[in-house]
Amino acid sequence: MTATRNRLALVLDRFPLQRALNAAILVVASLIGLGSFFYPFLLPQRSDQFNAMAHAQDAPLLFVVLVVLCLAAVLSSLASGLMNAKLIAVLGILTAANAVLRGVPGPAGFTLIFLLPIVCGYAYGPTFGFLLGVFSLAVSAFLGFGVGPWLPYQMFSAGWVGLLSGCLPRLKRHPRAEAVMLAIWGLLLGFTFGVLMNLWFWPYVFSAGQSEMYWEPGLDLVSALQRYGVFYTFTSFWWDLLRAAGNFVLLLLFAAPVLRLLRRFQQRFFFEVRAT
Amino acid sequence: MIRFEHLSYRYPGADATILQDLSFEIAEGEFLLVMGPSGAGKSTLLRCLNGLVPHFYGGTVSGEVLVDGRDPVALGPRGMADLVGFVLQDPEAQFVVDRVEDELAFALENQGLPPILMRKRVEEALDQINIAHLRHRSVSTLSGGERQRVAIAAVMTLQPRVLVLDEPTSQLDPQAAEEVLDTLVKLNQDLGLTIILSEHRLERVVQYVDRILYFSGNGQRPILGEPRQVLSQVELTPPLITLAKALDWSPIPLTIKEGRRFARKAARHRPDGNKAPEATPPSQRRNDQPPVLISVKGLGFSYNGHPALQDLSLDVRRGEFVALMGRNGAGKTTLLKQLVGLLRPDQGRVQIVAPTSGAAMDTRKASVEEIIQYVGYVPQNPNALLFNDTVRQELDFTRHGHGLPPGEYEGLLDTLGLTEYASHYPRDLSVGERQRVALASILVAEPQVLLLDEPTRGLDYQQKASLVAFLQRERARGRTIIMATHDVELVANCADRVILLGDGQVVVDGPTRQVMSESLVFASQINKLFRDPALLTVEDALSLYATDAS
Repeated sequence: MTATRNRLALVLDRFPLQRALNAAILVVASLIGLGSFFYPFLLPQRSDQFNAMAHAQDAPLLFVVLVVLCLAAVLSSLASGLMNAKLIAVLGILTAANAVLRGVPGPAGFTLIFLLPIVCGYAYGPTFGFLLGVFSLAVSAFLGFGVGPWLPYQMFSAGWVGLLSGCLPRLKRHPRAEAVMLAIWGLLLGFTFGVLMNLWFWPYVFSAGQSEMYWEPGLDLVSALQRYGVFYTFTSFWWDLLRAAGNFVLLLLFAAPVLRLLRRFQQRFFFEVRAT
Repeated sequence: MIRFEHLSYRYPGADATILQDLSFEIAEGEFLLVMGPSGAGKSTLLRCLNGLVPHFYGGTVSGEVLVDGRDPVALGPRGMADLVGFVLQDPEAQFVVDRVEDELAFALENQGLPPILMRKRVEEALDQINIAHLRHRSVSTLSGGERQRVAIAAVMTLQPRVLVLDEPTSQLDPQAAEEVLDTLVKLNQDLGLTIILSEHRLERVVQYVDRILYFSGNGQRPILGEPRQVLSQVELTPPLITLAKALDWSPIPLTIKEGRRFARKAARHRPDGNKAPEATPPSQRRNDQPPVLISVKGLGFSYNGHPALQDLSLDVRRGEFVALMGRNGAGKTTLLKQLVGLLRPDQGRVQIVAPTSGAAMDTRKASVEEIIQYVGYVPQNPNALLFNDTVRQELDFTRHGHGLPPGEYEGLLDTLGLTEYASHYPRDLSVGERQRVALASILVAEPQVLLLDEPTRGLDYQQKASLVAFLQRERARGRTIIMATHDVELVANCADRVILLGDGQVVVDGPTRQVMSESLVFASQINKLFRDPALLTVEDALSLYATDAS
């Protein structure tokens, strides 16, 4: 009898604690992210800060916490064998490539930056996708795309794009369906990213003349959603439409070849030792 | 020192195991040659010794390798680096920094050694390999042989006890190969270093090695033994040994010196009636010469002020098979690139004559697209040509690019032994296989003139023989072939004209037999053995000396 043991499987049996820790780090990071997006809605009074200064106090702290948590995720993945030096190298290279892709100009919200997090998250799993999203936004910001209180929120949102892409069903055997699925997914994420990202400043802005599209403390959920809906349609929708359409087209064109490439590398990440 | 126990290995996504249940031992201080057909798993075996297989390549392993009690599968390349020095097939792939001295210190820095010790180790390695004069040079300015020796020195700084080399001389001219092998012999004898190397051109190494491990691939058990014993059992042998086996010389001579004794005896008992081959084949007669296809006049070219070709003139006629020979850096590749229009002349001109219309194209004016209608160029590094997902797609791509209809090329794949790889990813193939895919992807466009740069790199004797047969068939169909090579035996077997380049100029230009018999360095083994200008190849010698039993 020969017992086949995938190295990955071996690791999972041997280090259930580390694996749980790994998942816990991602959950904690996501909770902190969600909390930081939504806590302003729970404040009793609108902050007196000027519009553009939304989160000016807590953003640096949030940035540090997020980066520390991501590094912890990298280390715990290393310790548990979910990642190894080769995967870290791939993460680094893809992060750099993705940061540079952000510089490719396009109309309005159109950007190349979601292509890799979506495809890599799908191919290499939620942790990898999350890290790639977070790190590539951070790196590109320092490359000149603007560091500000919005940065940690962008990082969280892009991280979730990768994380959620890792939870899609595997359609490895149907390459066409796979590309279409990812393209539609990219379309949805294009809007979702916009909807979420507006929230980092929305509760902080107010214009007395147009109160029907701004947040006021004490609003109930339904009227808050109504107001946000109006705000979204008038400000961010067209912007997001281009991003979503861009994602759709890019993924339709490039998802299949990029996936082929990523999977060729994936074969080399781990090896199997067969006991005789 | 090294023990394999029931080791099997399969590459990820591969159907079959490439190494199958290997068990053998290598003693400390041994000089072992690994040989076998291209793609049989020689490189894979070597990579097991420092953990590159499976750590870099993934896949499935079973069984065990132990190197001095350490397990490469458990420790990985990092854990084996101080014990096993590994020199890759392509030394350039191994260099990290630009200066020779820095390159030598690089591995030491990664091991975190104190600077004083690093200094000492670098000095020692420079002396051991005898390259102290290169220490301040930039790696990119070194010749092929120098590069290979720097690569060896760079792994020697870690003072490994085993040195593993994957085809260390496959890209080198005969002199440079000699330098590298001398270095290895010295390391083996002076330091008792265990050396394991793979090589296709056995004529260079068999005399130095203690044992040979022969790999036939296809899951067959490898043969391990003394050189004479192994060579008498296998098909792939250098010309000297092939001849010795055919003429029943015993014990089998491994060097020209050992062979001379038999050759002298054979010459004395030469059977009557056997005639030496004619010095010039009848097809070369002056009066019915075919038209000139390529005409080079006063060609001069320099790279950033470094002259590569100077006042070079030559004509190549339709149906000729020309071998360009000469030292590394003599300008062979530059000349080939000029002929296909990838480089344009600084002085002089290159003209390509379209075989059908007779119209002459000047490469200073014609575009590469026009030239490649007639001229196909297979570069030295096959990777440069391979970028599609399967071998078949590579061929389709070429035909599409040339505006040709998708053609029948099963015959071509079959001749080149590529049928079974038709749907493989080209870059996953072994070096020898990639070389053939590159050749196929050019030949599929049916160019009139074929330019080959080192076509036998990474090919075994059998593949070389089938390549020779293939090229001769192509030539018989009217194709013109110009080939840059260091491979003396290949030239002896198929070229009818040799052009020897030196410092970017034509030094000698003449029929193969004449040029080869007048040169010592560029002479074939059989030529050296009999010291007879009429004899270049095993077939020549056999036609003269074979005593017909019937």
